[in-house]
Amino acid sequence: MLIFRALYFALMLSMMTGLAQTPLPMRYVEDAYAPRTARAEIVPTPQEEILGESIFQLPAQATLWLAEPTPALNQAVNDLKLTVGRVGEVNLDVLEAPSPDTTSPDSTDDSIDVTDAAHIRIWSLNDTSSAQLEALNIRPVTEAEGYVLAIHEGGVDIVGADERGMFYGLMSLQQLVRAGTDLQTRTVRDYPNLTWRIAMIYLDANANINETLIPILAQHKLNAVLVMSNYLEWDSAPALHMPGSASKQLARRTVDTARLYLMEPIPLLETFGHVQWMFQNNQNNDLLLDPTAQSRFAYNPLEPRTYDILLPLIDEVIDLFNPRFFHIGHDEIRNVVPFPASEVSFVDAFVDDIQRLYNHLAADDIRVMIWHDTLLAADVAPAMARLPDDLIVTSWNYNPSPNYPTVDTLQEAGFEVLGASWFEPDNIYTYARYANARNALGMIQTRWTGYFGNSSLLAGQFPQAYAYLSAAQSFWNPQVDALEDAAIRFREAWAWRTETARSREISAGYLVDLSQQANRHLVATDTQAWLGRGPDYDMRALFEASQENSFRLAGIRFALGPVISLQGRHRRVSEDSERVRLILNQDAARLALLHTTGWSSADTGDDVGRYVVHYEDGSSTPIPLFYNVNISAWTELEVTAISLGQVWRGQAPNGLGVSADLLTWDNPFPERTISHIEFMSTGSIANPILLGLTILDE
Amino acid sequence: MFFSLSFWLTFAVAQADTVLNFWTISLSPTFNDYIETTLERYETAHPGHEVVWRDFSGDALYFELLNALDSGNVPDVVNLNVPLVLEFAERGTLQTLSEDALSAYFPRMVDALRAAGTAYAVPWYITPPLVIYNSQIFEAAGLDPDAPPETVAQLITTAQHIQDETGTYGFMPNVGAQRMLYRFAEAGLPLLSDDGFDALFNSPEHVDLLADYAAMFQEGYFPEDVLLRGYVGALERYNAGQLAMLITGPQFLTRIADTSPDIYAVTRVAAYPLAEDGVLHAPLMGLAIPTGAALDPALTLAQFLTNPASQVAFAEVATVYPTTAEASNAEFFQQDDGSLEARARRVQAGQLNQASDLTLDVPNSKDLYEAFMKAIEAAFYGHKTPQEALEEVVIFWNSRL
Repeated sequence: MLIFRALYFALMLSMMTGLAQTPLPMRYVEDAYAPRTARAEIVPTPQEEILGESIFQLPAQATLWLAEPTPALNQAVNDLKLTVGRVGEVNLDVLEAPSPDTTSPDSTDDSIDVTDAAHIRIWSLNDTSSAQLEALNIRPVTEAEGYVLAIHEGGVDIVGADERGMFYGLMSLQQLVRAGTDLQTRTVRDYPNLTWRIAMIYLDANANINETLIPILAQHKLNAVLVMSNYLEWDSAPALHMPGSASKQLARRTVDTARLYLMEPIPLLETFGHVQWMFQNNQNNDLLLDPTAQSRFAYNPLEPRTYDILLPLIDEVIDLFNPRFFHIGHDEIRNVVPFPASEVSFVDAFVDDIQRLYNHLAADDIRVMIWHDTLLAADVAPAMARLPDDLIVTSWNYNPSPNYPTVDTLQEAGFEVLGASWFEPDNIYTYARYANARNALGMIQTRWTGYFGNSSLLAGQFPQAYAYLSAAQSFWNPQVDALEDAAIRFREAWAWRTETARSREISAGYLVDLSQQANRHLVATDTQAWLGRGPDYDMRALFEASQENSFRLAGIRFALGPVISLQGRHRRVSEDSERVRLILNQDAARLALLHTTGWSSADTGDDVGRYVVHYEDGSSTPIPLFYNVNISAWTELEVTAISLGQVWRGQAPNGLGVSADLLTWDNPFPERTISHIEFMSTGSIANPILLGLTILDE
Repeated sequence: MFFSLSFWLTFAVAQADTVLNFWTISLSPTFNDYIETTLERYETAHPGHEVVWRDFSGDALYFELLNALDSGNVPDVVNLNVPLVLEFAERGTLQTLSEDALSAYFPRMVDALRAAGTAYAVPWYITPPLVIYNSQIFEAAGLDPDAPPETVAQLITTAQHIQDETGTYGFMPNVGAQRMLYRFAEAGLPLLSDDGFDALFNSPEHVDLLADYAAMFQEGYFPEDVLLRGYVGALERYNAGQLAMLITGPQFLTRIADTSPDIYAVTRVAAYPLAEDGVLHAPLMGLAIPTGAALDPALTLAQFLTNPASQVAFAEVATVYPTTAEASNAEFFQQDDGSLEARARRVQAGQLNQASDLTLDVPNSKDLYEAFMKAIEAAFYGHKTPQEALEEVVIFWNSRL
């Protein structure tokens, strides 16, 4: 009787909850995930690269010989050691071999003999005789910063034209090694077209990010950093201290890291205009250019006390950087606060201010840089001849164009010129080409993420981070195409640097069919809706792509069909479910969630929903969804955070650019069976939509 | 000293039944006298009320308000511009205001302070633009300086004529960033559908207007930096005698007088050319009441600050305009002492019923405006036809509205 009752109860429970407890249909496949092959390529694209047919395999116990060790080269070698260790479990020993200089310069064989034991040899062109080069079968590159990287069956030789050349040869080798320690033979002959390849960075309380960023920039052969330094903890003016400013100690670490990676540190301290930093905490109000103006934007250069305040601060920057160059800003001076009427004209005040700062810096043999725009204003331009002719003028223009005539104007006036681009990829490419064609001094890749924006660089301002790599490509080698996949490359470089990169093997898994719980369709028709704007606005391109046998996103297969849209504030989804339960009853090592949102949120980090993974033992763990952090709108093409896995882009029928994001989640409890996932919305404007789900065994 | 100051502050607070915290944007120190006098009048009229005034820069106020909302220690009345009213309303951090409380104000200004149809702030002051023009350049171009352009179409043809005849730029339109949207609205063209879910600025009329501006740019009738430098570049050129018509706020008359007295001497002012059903875009300031503040006393203070007497007194010391018809009819705005400033006041007071802040109540406006700006740039630089540019950006907007 008891058994009967138990069976009856189970039957009733099953009848009541049977539908809800039935797992979603899913298909098991052996190759739900297949790793992508890492790219064995050098970025920026070398000037010349000739591939061979054979392979040089770096042995498990490899050796390296380095001519003329320096702190930077030792650091580069150390980075290479770490890389080969992680990639191929290769132990790379640095040989304490005597320099070839100790042998007869006329000798050929003997000078090579001392390094014969090394699998990787880094030579300095200065100290390598022509006979030695001949023995190495290397035709050297003599351009500054140039190098030859020769991978042959017997090993690797790098010959640098100078220290930077040796360093960049090592950086190129390191990039190749990341794809594996079986190295395809090749000869790379490489050098930069632009002398200065500068990346703008910031000092603030989060400037420790620079210690990861700078090695990535250096690896891509940028050779200087322009360091925004307005907000330091000033010793001579502690009352100007702003919360969020960089301590001197932190700032020094940025400078030291730059030097260690052979990046010239150039301070940028904005003066005359953009000087809100001089008026923090209601300080120096008597020095404002226009005390009645709402913005505390410019100082009064006619007030002598301005320089009593400013010059000691400049000296603090000099102490910190020990720079060869110093950028004093001077842009947009009249854009916010017009110059008031006075006995001294704006032009005279502008020229005198520059001259005064120039004299101060020149006393320490420091060359001065300024932005171009105020200098080229109609009334100021005629006074260019009154300025020191060794000023370096940095000419910003952030629009793509075949021509950048201000470069010519400034050069004709006798100035050396640096171009300055921003994060628009076409702008970087076209400006670098123009700067190269005009023999400009180089290019600056500017970044405008706010004075306290280091914390937002990877989360919210990511396009300005990966633009550094686009710049590295075009500044080094403007002849070749602009860099593709800069976001992916930067993400990989960052993951590598922060050791979050993991190599994975092929994995079986289940491709989940969401149809049973679905309420919307990737392909909009008269009878089925995507988001209610009709067939012109839909995601059919994703559905059509998924019908190809080879369809994978970041190596993962998905079975795409109808999708699950949750409730949001927009009227078109306000009636969608607030939460949906996805019954799985499966073990999983990883979940791959392909998703998007219906509308965009203005706030990066907006809490838009979550997946809550429930296990059969009653425990659960949440996967929060934050806008532009791990999910974004289907209309969002810009990847604004490094954490955002935008894996697909396409076009709606009306040409609208559309996208989808992938969130892969490592199950912290793979030993527990997942009973179901609760997919939930917070009801914000950015309603989450689940497009596909794959359960991975590994 | 500290003891006695603390004592008196404590004493003063102890005497007040109601302490109201009032925050403003960038009014101190220039307008200390006005604000302090007005608050004294308020306190006299409302025994038991005390107002504690704090003034911030725009950026500082934004972060202070966020912090205050987090801590629950909010100001009672806070001065916000329209974008901030919409943003804080979207966050659900401002109190809604009844229609009765807003009946005295110009309806278009109230509308500017609505999010999803609900009003979140009392209109405080507005600074509409006008046309400031150089009569000497008009004469040199053979134009009658007593007959400035009255429509957008006339403005364009006048500018072309001046450039053709004198080589001097006619005017430098404010079309950077999202401002071309305002130019559409001033020409009487719609921007959004009534329900706010469809962008409408791809009609043939919109395309024609953009095409006119783009053609003028490409033919050299506007300076190259027109999209980048806005009114500052225009003011610079006007002061240098290199621009015939300056479209800006009247507060810049003083600047012209100080910087370029010769130009000021030949300067005249005229009403902003508007279509009959056009809306004049002007930056508007509101007074909002954050969630958590006591509504009634806060609203009383906000209404006192915006009553005709307070508004006229403010306009007498600052170049700002009132938000109520009653205040705009005050003698101060009607008198003519022959000065440019008085003429400007009369002209502008007459347009206040058409003035509004056209900042749109759209989700994630930053992205939408950026896409719009790129479309306008593409049309100006000839990368796309005006029609292509507007069609594409309307599709983008629609996907996000």
